[in-house]
Parts: sequence; C-alpha cells; structure tokens
Amino acid sequence: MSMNGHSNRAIDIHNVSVYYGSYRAVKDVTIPIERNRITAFIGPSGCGKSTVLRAINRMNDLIPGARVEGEILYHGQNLYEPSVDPVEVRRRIGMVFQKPNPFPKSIFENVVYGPRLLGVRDRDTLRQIAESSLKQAALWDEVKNDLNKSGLALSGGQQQRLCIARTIAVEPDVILMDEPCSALDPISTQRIEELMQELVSQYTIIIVTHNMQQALRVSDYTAFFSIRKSGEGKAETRWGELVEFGDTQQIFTQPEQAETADYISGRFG
Amino acid sequence: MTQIEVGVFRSRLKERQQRGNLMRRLYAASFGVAILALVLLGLTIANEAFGYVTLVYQVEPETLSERPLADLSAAELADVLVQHEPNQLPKLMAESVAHMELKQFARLPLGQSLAGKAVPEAYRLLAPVDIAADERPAVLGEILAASLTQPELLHLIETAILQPTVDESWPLFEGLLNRAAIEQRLVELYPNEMTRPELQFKSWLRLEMLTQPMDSNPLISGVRTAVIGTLYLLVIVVLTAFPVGIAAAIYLEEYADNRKWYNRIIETNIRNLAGVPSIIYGLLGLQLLVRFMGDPGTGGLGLTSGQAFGVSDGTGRNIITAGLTLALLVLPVIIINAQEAIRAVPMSIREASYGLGATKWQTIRRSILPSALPGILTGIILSLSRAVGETAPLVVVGASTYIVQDPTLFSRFTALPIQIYNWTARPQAGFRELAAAAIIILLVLLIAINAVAFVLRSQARRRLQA
Amino acid sequence: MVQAIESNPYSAERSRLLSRAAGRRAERADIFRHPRLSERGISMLLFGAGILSIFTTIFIVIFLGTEAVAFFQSRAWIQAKMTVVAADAPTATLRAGSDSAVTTDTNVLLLDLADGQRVPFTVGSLIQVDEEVMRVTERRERSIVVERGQVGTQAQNHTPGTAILPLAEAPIRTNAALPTGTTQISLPAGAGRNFTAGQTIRLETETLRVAAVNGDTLTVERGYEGTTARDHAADTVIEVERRPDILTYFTGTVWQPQTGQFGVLPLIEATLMTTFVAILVALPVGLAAAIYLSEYASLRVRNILNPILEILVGVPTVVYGFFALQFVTLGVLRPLFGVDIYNTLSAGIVVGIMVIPTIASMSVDAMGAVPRGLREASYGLGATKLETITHVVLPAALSGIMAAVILGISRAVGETMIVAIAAGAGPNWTFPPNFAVGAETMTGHIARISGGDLSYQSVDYNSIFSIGLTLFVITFVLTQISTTITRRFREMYE
Repeated sequence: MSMNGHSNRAIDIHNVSVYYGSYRAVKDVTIPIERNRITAFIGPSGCGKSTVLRAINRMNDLIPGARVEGEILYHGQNLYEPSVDPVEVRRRIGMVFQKPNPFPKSIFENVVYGPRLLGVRDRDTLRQIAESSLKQAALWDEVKNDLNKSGLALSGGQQQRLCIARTIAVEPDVILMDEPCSALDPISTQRIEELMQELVSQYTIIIVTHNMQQALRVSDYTAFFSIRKSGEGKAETRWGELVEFGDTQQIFTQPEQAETADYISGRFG
Repeated sequence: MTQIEVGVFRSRLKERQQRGNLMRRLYAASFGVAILALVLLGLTIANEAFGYVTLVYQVEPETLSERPLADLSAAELADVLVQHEPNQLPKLMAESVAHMELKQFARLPLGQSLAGKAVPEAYRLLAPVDIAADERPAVLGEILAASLTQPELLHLIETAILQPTVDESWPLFEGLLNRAAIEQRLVELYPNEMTRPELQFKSWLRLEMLTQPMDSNPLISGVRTAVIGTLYLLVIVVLTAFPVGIAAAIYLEEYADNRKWYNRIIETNIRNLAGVPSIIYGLLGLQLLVRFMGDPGTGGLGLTSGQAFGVSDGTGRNIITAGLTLALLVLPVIIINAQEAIRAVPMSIREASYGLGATKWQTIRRSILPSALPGILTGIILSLSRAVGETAPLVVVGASTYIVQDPTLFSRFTALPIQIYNWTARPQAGFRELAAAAIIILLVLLIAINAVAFVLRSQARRRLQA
Repeated sequence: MVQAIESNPYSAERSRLLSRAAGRRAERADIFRHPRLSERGISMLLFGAGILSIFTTIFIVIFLGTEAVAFFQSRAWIQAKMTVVAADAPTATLRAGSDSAVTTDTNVLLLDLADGQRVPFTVGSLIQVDEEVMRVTERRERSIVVERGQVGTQAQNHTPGTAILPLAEAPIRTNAALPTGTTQISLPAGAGRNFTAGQTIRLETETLRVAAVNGDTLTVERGYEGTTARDHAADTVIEVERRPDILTYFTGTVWQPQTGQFGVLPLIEATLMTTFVAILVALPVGLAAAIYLSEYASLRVRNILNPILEILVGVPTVVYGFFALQFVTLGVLRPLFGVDIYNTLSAGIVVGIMVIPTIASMSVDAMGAVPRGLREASYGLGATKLETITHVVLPAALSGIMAAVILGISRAVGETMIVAIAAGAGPNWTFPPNFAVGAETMTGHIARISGGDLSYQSVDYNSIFSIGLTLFVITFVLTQISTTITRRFREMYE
C-alpha cells in the first residue's frame, strides 16, 4: 500500500488477540480501518467481532481480567502502550451500544454529558452544542420542544439517535457502533443507516452487525469473523478469528474464502 | 379391583388437601401473631401514656383563683404569682426568663438580664436589688406577664406554687373499665369527702413536653433536652457516617478488585461488623472515644472531650463521642445498602459514560451516584431509624439521665431512648407513664424521618424516570 | 482513493465551541496519560473510607482483648472473713427424726420448733452444728435443706437435740502486734481454716505470702512482691487476694467482682435462657410467616404483609423492653403464673418477637432460591402444595433456613435493652434454669455496670470488657457460620 494510503488509515488493528483471564477469545486479527469510511464486522454469534470492536476504544479494560495482545495503532500510536490513557482514547473513539442506553437524565443533559466532562460550563455554549449535535443526529425537530424530558421517554429509535448525538457532541474521530440497530424496528433502522451515511463524511465508523443486508447497504469495507474450535467435549475451546477482510462489494459477491461464501449465502437464504 | 384403588386414592387426596388447607391457615396465622404483637404494643403504650390519676397539691388550685387557672389571662396568672409567691419571684424569673443564677440576676440591670423582653423603660437600668422591696413583686409581675405566654405562666405556677404530685395512677383501660372500683377504693382510703383527691383523666403526652426541661416531678417533666440530644446525635451521624459509608461503598463496588485478598477481607469484615451487637460498639466508643481520645485528666488526648480545643473540661461522655459511636454502628448498614444500590445500576449506564471519555470519578459522580440515589437513600433511612432508637451504646458511653440545661456538643447529654429506659426502670408512680409518652414522641420522630426519606426517595426516583 | 472531505457545518461549529470553552482542544493524536491528581486523590480517599471498617474491627479486638487480659491480671483484695457464732441470734435444735441421728449423707435437718415458730435461718446463711459448718439452701415448714461441710469443715454425724447455731461473717484481724522481724501471725480461734499455704495476703500496704498454716497460726514470708515489711499493730485487718482465672471464669456460678467471685456462668446462662425462649417464639412464627410469604401469598398480599415485618424491625428495642415489662410481664405472665417482676421468660418472648423478621426474611430468600424445577417435579408426581413444601422446598432450603436461625440466635444473644429492662438486674444462677425469676444477661450486665462514671482502673471496668469479648466471640462466630452457610447455599443453586 502506498504511503498516501497508509496515512489515510484511522486505525490499524495488527495481530490482535484478546484474552479473558487465560481464555483467548479472539486470535490474531489484522484489519486496516480507512478514514471516513464505514467498516463492518460480521460473523456468527461468539466470533469475537464485538470483542475486537470494544478493544479499539479500550472498553474491555472495564472487564476484570481482560487483556489485549498485538497492536492497535491510532495515528501511529499503539493504544495499548502503558503511557496511553484509556480515558483520552475513549474521548476520541466514541461508541454507540447495542441497546440504546441514554442516561436517566433529560435529553439536553444526555447530549451535553460529554462536553461537560471536557469542562464546558457555559450554558449558552452547551445549548449550541446540544442543538448542533441533535440536528446532525436528525433528532432536533422531534425533540426541540421538550429538551427537558427524560431521555428514557423517547422511543427506541429516537433513543439510539440520542445516543449518537451524545457521541458526536464531543467531536470524536472514530465512532464504534455495536449492533446499533438490533433492538430497533425497520423504520428506525433505516433512519440510523441514513444517519451513518451522513456522518461518515465527518467521522470514521466501525459497525458490528448481524444483519448482512445492513452491512451490504452501509459499509465500504467488511471484515468477516468466524469461530474456530479445538478439542472435544469438556476440553473443547472456542475462539474467534478473522476469516476475510476486503471491499464490501467484493466480500459479498466474490469472497475469496469458501467459509465466507457459505456464511453469506446461508444468511441470505 | 382397579376401581377400588382409585377410590382409595380419592379419599386420601381429600384428606391431603384438607391437611394442606389447615396448614395454609396456620402459616397465615403466623402473621396474626406479628400483627397482634404490634397491636398489643400500641395498646400498651396508649394504656400507659393516658390514664387516670389522683393528684395531691402543695397548694390547692381552687385557693388561687375562683375560675379554673387555664381560663385566666397572662396578666391574671402573673397576678396570681405576685399574690402567692412575692418573695420567690426574683428566683423564678432568674431561672425561667433570664436563664441565669439568682445571684447574678439580682445584681444585673433588668435591661441587661432581660434584654429583648418587655421591660418598662423606667426599670431598665435598675437591678432587682435596686427596686424597693414592697414595689419589687408588682414590677416583676408586670414584666412576667409581658414576657411569658399564658401556657408558660401556667407551667410556672404549677412548678412554683401548686407543685402537684401523683398520689395514685391508673392506666387508661383500667380507668375506663373499672371506674367504679377505683372510686370505691378512693372512698375507703379517704373517708372524708373534703380531703378526698379527685380522680381525673390525665394525658401524660403533652405537646409542651417538647419545650419543657426535665424535672424530677413526672407531672411537669418535659423531654426538651432529650429531644435536642437525639437531634444532635442524628446530625453527627449524618455528617460522618453518610459520607464515609457511601465512599466506602463506592470504593468496594467501583474501585476494589475483588481478586485482591485485602478487598475480600474488607468486604467480609463489613458483613461481620453488621452482625456485631450494638453494645460492643458502645464498649468500643467507651474505650477509644471516651477514654483514649477524651479527658486528658484520665490519660486521654482531649480531642472528643474538647480540652484540645479549649472549649470544655468535660469527661468525654458527651454528644460527640456518642454520635461518633452511633456513626460507627450504622456504618456497615449504610455501606451494605449503598453497595447494593450501586450494584443495581445497569452496566449500560457505566459503559455509556466511559464510552464518552469520562474518567472513573466523572462516571461515578455524574452517572452512577444519581442513578443509585434512591437505593442509597433507602439505606440511609434504615440506618437513621436505627440510630434514633439505639440505646445500649449510649448507655455504655455514659449518657446521663437527668439533664436540665440544653446540651452542647461537649457537655453531658441525654437522648430520648435513654430517657425511656431510665423512666421505665423507675419505681415511683408517674415515670412509666412518662416513659410511654416519650415513646410516642420517639415513634413520631421515627415516622417523620421515614416520611421525609420516603418523599425524597420518590422524588429522586421520579427525576430518574420522567 | 482519497475523497475530498466536505466540511460539515455542525461539526465545524462544535469543534470551535469545544475548543473555545474547554480552553484547550487536545490534539487528536494526544492520547497519552496526563497526571490526573484529583482523580488519584479521590480514589485514595475512597480507599481510606473502605479500609476504615477494618480499623473498627481491629480496635474492637484490641480493646476488648487488652482489657480482658487486664481483667485476668487484675486482683481484688478482699477482707478475710471468718464465721463466728452470731450473738443474740435465735437458734434451734435438731429434732429427733425417724432414725434420730443426722448422718453424713443426709441434707435435710429436722428442726425442733415450738408451734407457730418459724425457721430462724435464712436461705444462703451459714449454720454450725457441732464442729461442722453448713449452708442453708432451702427453708421448709419445720426443716431446712443444707449443703454439708462448708468453709473447710467435714460432714459429721450429729445427734438429735444438738444446737444449731447461726453463723455470721466477721473480718479476721491479727490477734497480736506484728513487728517487722516476726514471721508468725497469730489469728483468733477458728480463723486458721480460712487460709491455705501459698496464698498471698495483705496487711495494710505490705504483701505477705503464707508459707504454712498451723492451726490458728500463719507462718509468712514478709515483704512479698517488692513491698516493704513494716510493723503492724494488733487487730489489723487481713486481706486475701482474689484473682479471676480462666477456669473459674468459665465454671464459676457466682459473678460478684466486689467479693472476688468471677464466674461468668450466671450471665451466660441468662443469655442462653432468653435466647432459647426467643428462638422458641421466633422460629415457628418466623418460619411459618416465611412459608406463607414465599409459597402462598400473592404479590398483592405480600405487599401488605412485608411492611408488617418492616415495622417490627423498625421498633426501637427500648420500646420492646417497655412492652416486655408492662404488657408481657405485668399484664399477662404475672397475673397468670405469678412470675417475678423481672424474669427471663418475658424478656425472651419479646426478644423472640424482635427476631421474627430476621428469620422470616432470610428464610424467604432461602426458599425463593429453590429452583422452580424441583417444585414442578414434585407437583408432576401428584403432590399437593403442602407436600411439595414439606418434602421438597423445606429440605432444599434447609441450610438457608439454618443460616437464618443462627443469625436470629446471634441477634438474640446480642440484644441489650429488652433484657436490661425486663430480665432483671443482678446475676442469678439457677439450676435447673428457672424462667420465672430475674437473671442478668451478659449484655444486661454490661449495660447496668457501665451506666455510671466507671473508673478506668476498676475491676468492674475491666470485667465488662472481658464479658464483651466473650459476647463478641460468640456473636462473631455465629455470624460467620451463618454467612458461610448462606454462601454455600447460594453456590449450590447457581
């Protein structure tokens, strides 16, 4: 790859294995993440795609005993070096979760949570940030009259867009989305997908999804993960591995690996 | 053959079902026991707190005024005092209006000793000794009438002139149901109708108890100093145990790595401490807070007795040590409840906050604590209720039983439950009744705490949901 | 490959606002650790709060321990007492019984009393018949029950008509002056049997050791334990040393620190008695309530019944004490059974009422943890609800229920105010246990003794800590057993 292409990477996942205690959940994953593109992680349940996603902004640190081997480079800097502060990492690599998880606070307080953390106190500034974030998350028109209502009072799809607004309010570099539409109805899902297409001009997005059509619709690149097994009965161990990574169109139409082809055709019926 | 067997089964089944129904009723009846105990408890308290008494007066009320004393105005009551106790007036005023020693009061100008009271301009610069002896009672009476309320004057007349004592006392239900027998007995005891004391209804629970100081006469004794003591203790517990307890809970739930041995010890230890009898905490408070941190005269540091700050020369048996002892006592309860509340905050809330780049403390302060607040409040109510009713540790650290002056942080003190304990144990007529009245006040205080906390909790909950 | 990134107006505005308001907008690549001092400080503060409870335990153990050790090292000097025939006190003579003589194996003395004359001796007093000293343990119409061979005397046979002399205790004083060099102390007649060789005694400020006892003469070592030998006048009071030791502490049946008797058994017995009654009340009621709540009650009924248990928990124990005395004793037990005003039965019953919620709520948890599958298996075999409960649910929840009962016992053992008010104010050893009379429990004793300005150096002060330590160990072990059982139980079904 050219120097130009390299510098265009937002994140470089390089030979990453994730352990929970002595159990290796994911083995040797290498994925280059292009800037201002949507990269999708797909694969069967338990294949470790969410684990890898959560390794990118060091959310796995919150789980006692979790450990990462290999390198995840961000602006050329390995995120797992001791000198790196996970809090600073998460400020730049935001996350949207599977289940919408607004804080039990007002809509306004939800959006300005991040800016407040950064020390923004001025009420006017917070209001402007909230407005621009909600507008960008395409939620403003629906909630502008009740910003003081609880975030929990919104519908599922609105809650998820609120969570996206909350994430972009701190102007992250990268947004990680962990199956953001799995709990939503088709119309809400469509809105979120449209939103992702708009956001990608500004941010780098990585999305974990179970939904093949969604991956095909929204993503530029796709990484396919699968489960490997060894041993029998009680001695059986399972771990996830990356099978194939490439341009989404190519993965879905001309996968190099037979396993990818089987999975995709199976999921499409 | 088959039919017979089915028949056998059927009849057995009926019997089995009957036994089941019987046991079910028995199980339900166990709550009958609990409810009965509560009802009887309430009736016992009511039975003692209200009742019938015969009173003996030092001076019969009828001789003071033709009308009932309670109907007299403040001026008329002051007049009664002037008429009947002209020489005692300075002493009464020193104690009940100026709150100082008679010696001091007699020599200070009235404008100074009764600052803020309605003292006529002409007498402001005069001390009681400066006023002519024949003029003095009238002047003081005038000031009394203007500076005390009618109920306060009534109380003054009771304590100074009437000095009623309980001759005999009957609990409420006996008085209601056995009235005739009691009257009969009175007739036997006092054949002369003129000297026979009148059987009258007496509510030992009086609202004025809250403002009146303690007295060795149960008829006029209040609980003011005990209530103040209890409130002080509550404040100390709130100020010390709550922050420490919640902080410890945060540490254990959010910071402590459970695989570390010392964290496991802390956790187990707190659970065990919750089961340590309260009297052991009393011993801890006695040795650590009263003896070692208390009076330097007996080898202490003078921290809790006040000498280190030059504010007191007490023994360390004071509100500070008692309050801190109670704080240690309720700490495990607060920690365990707060831990449960914090643990109940869903992981998703934590993740959302961390995902936005919040630090650990930011996450705790802005997300976890607000969400856990209703649960933490519940634990706090529990522990406060416990602190209010605790008696044993206070007895051990050395609460006093007879306190007339309002307590300060470093002075000797008493508290409501101590007073209840003390009065219950006294044999003289009237004190158990007084204890019952104090119990009602204590229970009302408990209900008030729970009500306030209930409102706070539901508000916090509503704020989280709406 | 590289696309021109059109600048989003919202995003650009936010970047500007954030950087302006937050002072600095950190570089995207700056993800390195910056010192977060406040964060550090807070975490240390929180750790401090967490560790504080450890100190509570350490202090409890240290203080109770050191004072208990001080207690066992303390000694009380008690005036040496001898028994003398009480002058002027009424006497009696032995009556001729069926086989006339009083042999060594009887403990009933028949008295020769005039009609209407009452037995002139009180229970607990000492009497002398011939050379033998006995203690009166029971008074009857015309006879007394005695303990034979007291105060170092041997049981003997006595003939009818022998006089029974009431004895009184009198301090033993030296018979003659004791100059510095002398090692022989002469005692009044009959006083020698109150001493034993090896005993430490005290005359004024001088401590002496008894080397030998010859009749009523003591051979002593002077100036013992670093004290200086000095002259003592005649009629000096002799004090003997009393030390609490572990053996008598746990086996002695008299607790009277003022007279040097340090047997904790009466206190433990009273605690066990109130606890026994309490569990007798709380176990059936609490368990039945738990079964009803867990197995029968609908959610609506549960919401009505749970607050009742909560109110029972919330009532201050001093109020329960009032209830025990005023209602249970004076209102029920005394009119019906004539019990004493202070008695362990009433205190125990009310402690039991207090413990009901503890047992009930923990048992509800235990039964709730029994897997639904077990129940369904039982129903599937045609069992009725009651049969399912008694044969499946209760056995499965047994260890959890046991944990509840043990915790209930621990609560009852540690309960203070109810027993302090209703059980009695004085140690009282009764065997067999008598629930109708007053007896002081360990907690009640601590509360009574400490309820005054105790001197920190007194034996009383030390003794309440030694009792406290005994209490602490008992409750700590009980709580630990209970939590261990609960944990095992939980693991079993998870």
